[in-house]
Amino acid sequence: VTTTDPTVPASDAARLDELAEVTREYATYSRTAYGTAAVMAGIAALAAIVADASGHSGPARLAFMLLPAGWLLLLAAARAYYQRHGIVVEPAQRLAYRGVFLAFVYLLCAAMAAVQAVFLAANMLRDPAPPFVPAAGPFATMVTLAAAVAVPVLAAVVVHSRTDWMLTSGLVGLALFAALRPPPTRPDLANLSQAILVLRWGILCGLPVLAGAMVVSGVRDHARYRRLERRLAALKGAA
Amino acid sequence: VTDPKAPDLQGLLEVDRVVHEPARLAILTVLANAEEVQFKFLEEALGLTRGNLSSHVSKLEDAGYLVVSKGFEDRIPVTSYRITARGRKALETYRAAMLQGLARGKG
Repeated sequence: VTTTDPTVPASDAARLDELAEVTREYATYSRTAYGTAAVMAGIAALAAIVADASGHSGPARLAFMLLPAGWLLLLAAARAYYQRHGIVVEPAQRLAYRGVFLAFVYLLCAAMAAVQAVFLAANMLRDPAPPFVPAAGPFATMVTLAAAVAVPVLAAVVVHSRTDWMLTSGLVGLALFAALRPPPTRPDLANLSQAILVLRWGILCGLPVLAGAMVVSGVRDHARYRRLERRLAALKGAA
Repeated sequence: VTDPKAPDLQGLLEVDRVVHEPARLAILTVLANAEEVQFKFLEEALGLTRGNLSSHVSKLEDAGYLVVSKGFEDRIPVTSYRITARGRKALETYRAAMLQGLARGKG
């Protein structure tokens, strides 16, 4: 498609193709690619581990209470940043390939975050927080082994795919869950507390790797976005 | 004896004039690659003035090739566009006609 009209930069076939590609790429940052948010999710997860190691009391507990709200604000800020040249919504059908698996992971982590919020609220009433004792027994061993197998796979998925609001939110959900300290004293909750303790241990084993993968993926997505901005400027400059 | 190129050249002559205009072709190309696009992005990507862009968008809207939605974001009015099925079809038909015609012309 060739034209001599000087007012339109995207007027030949090559430029139209470039325009289409830039649009598609830019649109991915409306829903699925949050470079900075992924980096922050990784940092939040690492902070959860550090806070846990430091005893998870006082300011650290307050920080975890505020984490879900902070995370929502961060997602909104990231979306505003990555769509600052005007919002371009990604076609819904391009999201389909992410499939049931990610939806399941997200729902699971959202549920974990909800459980965490309840327990954190309960824990805020207790002072000091109980010391963390790594869980032992066959169930704990099974969970640790499962984490050892699943974490490299999940890390590979994170590194080899575009970062995603579901993935990043999922990681934050895991971090929240990992920071959980179940109430130890109520007999009716003893089994639940033990189960949570064991799961938490498994998550803590894998969280550093997943957090690192998320940071790498986020930095890569952000660099891709900066290149995209240069292409967008070139399209405009050609006008 | 009929010219074998004639049908395609005829096709080129009968292309949709609404789509054929380069600015509108570019607008439809952008819209065809997203679910919804804000005015601001079109302005930036195409390097058109607001008035020029509004004019072309109005023509595409009149032809039923896109739909406009207006809203507010932080109390600032924002306008977004979606390509319609009719618009997508017109774009595909146009591209096919042009590619076919140009290919035949080269041959």
